[in-house]
Amino acid sequence: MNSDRDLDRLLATDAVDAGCAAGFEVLHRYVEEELAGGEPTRTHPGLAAHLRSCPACAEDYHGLLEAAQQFGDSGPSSP
Amino acid sequence: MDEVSQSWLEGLRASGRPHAECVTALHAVLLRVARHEVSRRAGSLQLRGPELEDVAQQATDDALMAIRTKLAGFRGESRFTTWAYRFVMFEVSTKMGRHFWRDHRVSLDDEAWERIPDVLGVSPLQSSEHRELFAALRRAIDEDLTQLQRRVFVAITLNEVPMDAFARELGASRNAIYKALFDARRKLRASLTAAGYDRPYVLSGTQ
Repeated sequence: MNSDRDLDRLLATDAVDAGCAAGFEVLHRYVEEELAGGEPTRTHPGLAAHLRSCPACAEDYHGLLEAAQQFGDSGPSSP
Repeated sequence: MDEVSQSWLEGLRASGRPHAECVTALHAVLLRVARHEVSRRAGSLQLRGPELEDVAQQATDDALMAIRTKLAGFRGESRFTTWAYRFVMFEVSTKMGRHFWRDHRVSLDDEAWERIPDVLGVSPLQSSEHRELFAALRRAIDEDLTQLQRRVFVAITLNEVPMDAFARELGASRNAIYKALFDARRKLRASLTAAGYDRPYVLSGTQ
């Protein structure tokens, strides 16, 4: 059985799951904390749970993490 | 607040030429991020160069509009760019969701439960061994979910339709689709428990 797609995972929910809208509101803080070496899964458990279950928000999270790493220091005067 | 974030805020709150120059600079930065993100996701859709650029441009324009509208909501809890790039991610997701239906034909029929063993990577032999569990799951999908929950569960979980694409199909928000998926998963677990199947659902003999 494919461990990534097992039945437990298919039907998994977490009571602390923040949902998409609430998660979006703190996603930037979550990403910054992760980049700073913190533990956002502990400070934002609701978003952490959501990212485990929501493929769309997880995709946004991965994209934001990469963008913040590569383009995070861009300023108005940057070339 | 860090110096770079402060300079973005000052420029966007300014008027006249400084404001216009800051908006132009922000658009350029957002476009760079959007192009990168579209490329990162391109593998999930069969989009070509001009279409990818079109998605990036549209996502940038809409993200910039959202950022200007919601600027008062930025409270310096992160770098300004990280706060702003969220809108790019969301808009790229939405725009790519629109393209999904053009290249994909997905049956959203109620018979998709037949694909559960395939989705789980279970062989025909293993599927046969766990016939009763799958039958209980099938019954629960058929009888215990609302029509919306069944449609969402089948599309997202069994047919792997992107959530934003399905949200667009139904004219609903991503949040509403996720809520229906969450409720469906919880209801199906409860149904399996009531039928005598407790977590974890060990499929003995599987790999």
